[in-house]
Amino acid sequence: MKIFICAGLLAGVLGAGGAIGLEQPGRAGATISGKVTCRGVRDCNGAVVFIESLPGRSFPPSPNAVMDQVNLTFTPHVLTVVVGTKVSFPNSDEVRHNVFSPSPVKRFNLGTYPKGVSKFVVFDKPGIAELLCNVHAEMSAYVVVTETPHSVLVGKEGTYVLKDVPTGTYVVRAWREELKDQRQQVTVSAGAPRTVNFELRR
Amino acid sequence: MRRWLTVTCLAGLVLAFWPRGAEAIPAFARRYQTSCTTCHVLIPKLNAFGIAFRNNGYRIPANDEKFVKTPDVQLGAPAWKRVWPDAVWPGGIPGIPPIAIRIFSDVVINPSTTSKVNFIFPNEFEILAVGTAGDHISYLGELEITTGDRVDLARAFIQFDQIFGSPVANLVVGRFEPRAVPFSRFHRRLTPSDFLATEFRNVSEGFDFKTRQAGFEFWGAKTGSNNKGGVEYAAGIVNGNGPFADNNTSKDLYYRLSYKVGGFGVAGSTEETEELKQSNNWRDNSIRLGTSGYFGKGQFAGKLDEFYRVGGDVDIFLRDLNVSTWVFMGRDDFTATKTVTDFTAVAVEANYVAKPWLIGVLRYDAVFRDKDADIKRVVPAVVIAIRANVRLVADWEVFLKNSGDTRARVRVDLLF
Repeated sequence: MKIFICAGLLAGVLGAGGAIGLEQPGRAGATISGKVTCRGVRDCNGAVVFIESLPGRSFPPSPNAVMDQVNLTFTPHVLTVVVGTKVSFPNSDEVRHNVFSPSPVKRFNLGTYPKGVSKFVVFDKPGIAELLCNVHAEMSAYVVVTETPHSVLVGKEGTYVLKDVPTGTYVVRAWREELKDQRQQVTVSAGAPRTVNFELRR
Repeated sequence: MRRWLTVTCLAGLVLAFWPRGAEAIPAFARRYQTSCTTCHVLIPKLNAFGIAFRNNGYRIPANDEKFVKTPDVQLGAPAWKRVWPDAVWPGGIPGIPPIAIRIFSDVVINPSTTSKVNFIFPNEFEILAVGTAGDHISYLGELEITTGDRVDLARAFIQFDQIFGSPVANLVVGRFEPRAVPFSRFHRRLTPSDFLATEFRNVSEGFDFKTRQAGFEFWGAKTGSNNKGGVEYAAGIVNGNGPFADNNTSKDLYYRLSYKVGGFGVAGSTEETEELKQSNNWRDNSIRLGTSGYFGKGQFAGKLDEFYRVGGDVDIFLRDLNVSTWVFMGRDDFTATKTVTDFTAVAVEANYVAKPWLIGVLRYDAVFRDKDADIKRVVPAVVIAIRANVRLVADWEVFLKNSGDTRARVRVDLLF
């Protein structure tokens, strides 16, 4: 019995230590900032910068992820969620909508449904899911599914700040619809803000 | 001799009343909310940026979307491309109708005609539709209504742009001005009178370069190193009978190849333009060398004519001066009667931008056939931009050695 308790404690300590060893840098609250330049489009609105993955780490799904349909528009146009997130697709419009995705990361078709109905999809793989409405050809949206919660939506000017990111070496990726995305490997140290700029082209 | 004079006079009459063609496109000024001078030295002459704009399928090089003030109406969200072939590839139409109108009026002074001074008010009313239809497709349609209520669909084509993702490969289908013409009347000529080399017909009803042709044209442009100069090419196959149905089975073929050293890139810069330049944009210190050839077969005046035109051209820009030269040789071979006629056409033109709104033009052009049938002409002209879209042009066609009717013309030209 004592052996089991000791083993359990040891495992707990090691586990905690391991966790502490990985999480401590995260608590350092490092910052990555920079500018995304978007060539060939009007501006950078709707671009996303995110940490693709942190080896050995997994994160809980994003809470309350909603992609609404209002005034013949998906709202928001770009939604960023962590892998495993259940995204709700309510129809708040006066007309019927159909939500489907042709993207390999998550192919689905929720069918056509009226106002007041909400359906959902669990996004269980990282990647970019394009959303379309089979009733309204002009409607589109994107769900950016990442392995980490470290993501930020970029505005028109292209500047971004990723706060409270862990220290270490990992890949930061910038994406925007219509443009080729870009990845950069960065090394982040505690107390030393990093500047990472991206240039996305068609 | 008398026969040639008759032919020349007839040709002159035809040309005097031939539709002149829309030559600048206010639809783009509306789309980008910019001035004509973004793309034109003065309408219709394109500056280097305008040439690159045209070579990009009527899009601003590197980043068209950034400059479009009225976004296109999307015919399906771009993400529908992912659904193809299970859905139609998305397209687009301009947010505002891509229509432009041109009206011009002429005062023609010709001492050898019954009415020595003629007011041709208006000479022509043109409706031009031009724009892009989503990625990789553009179009142009031009309807001309001329004095005498003649209506002519002058040009109408669809263009598949940037087939491989850059202006290096494009395909035009429709009726158009073949790119074998190095100095286009639509993009280059400032004067009401055309280049003699462009409008000259060696035989009655025969081929000339100004007639727009129906067919296919494959063309491309690639900017040279350091985003300067570059190469342009074109090859086409056309009916060779203008707006009419072909009168024989064989098709006409043509080519063009040119290389520009220095100056703005022929397909624009790979780097984004930060602003649309409005001043000194006629300056483009460069030299361009080109060669063109046109090989055709046609029934003219009931006789089968096998003909060709082959030549070269030089275009030099040095600060405010632009000097262009075009020389080509032509042969018409009537196999049935074993009649062969050769000629050489020469055009030299200098444009000098005295002020951004004032350009002086001096042209010498000639056609050398046999000694008695040569045509030689000098054309001094002045072009004044009263406004960016209103111009006043006066030219004086002086034929040397009585090779044609000397005449003067004053034109008021409005585009909106």
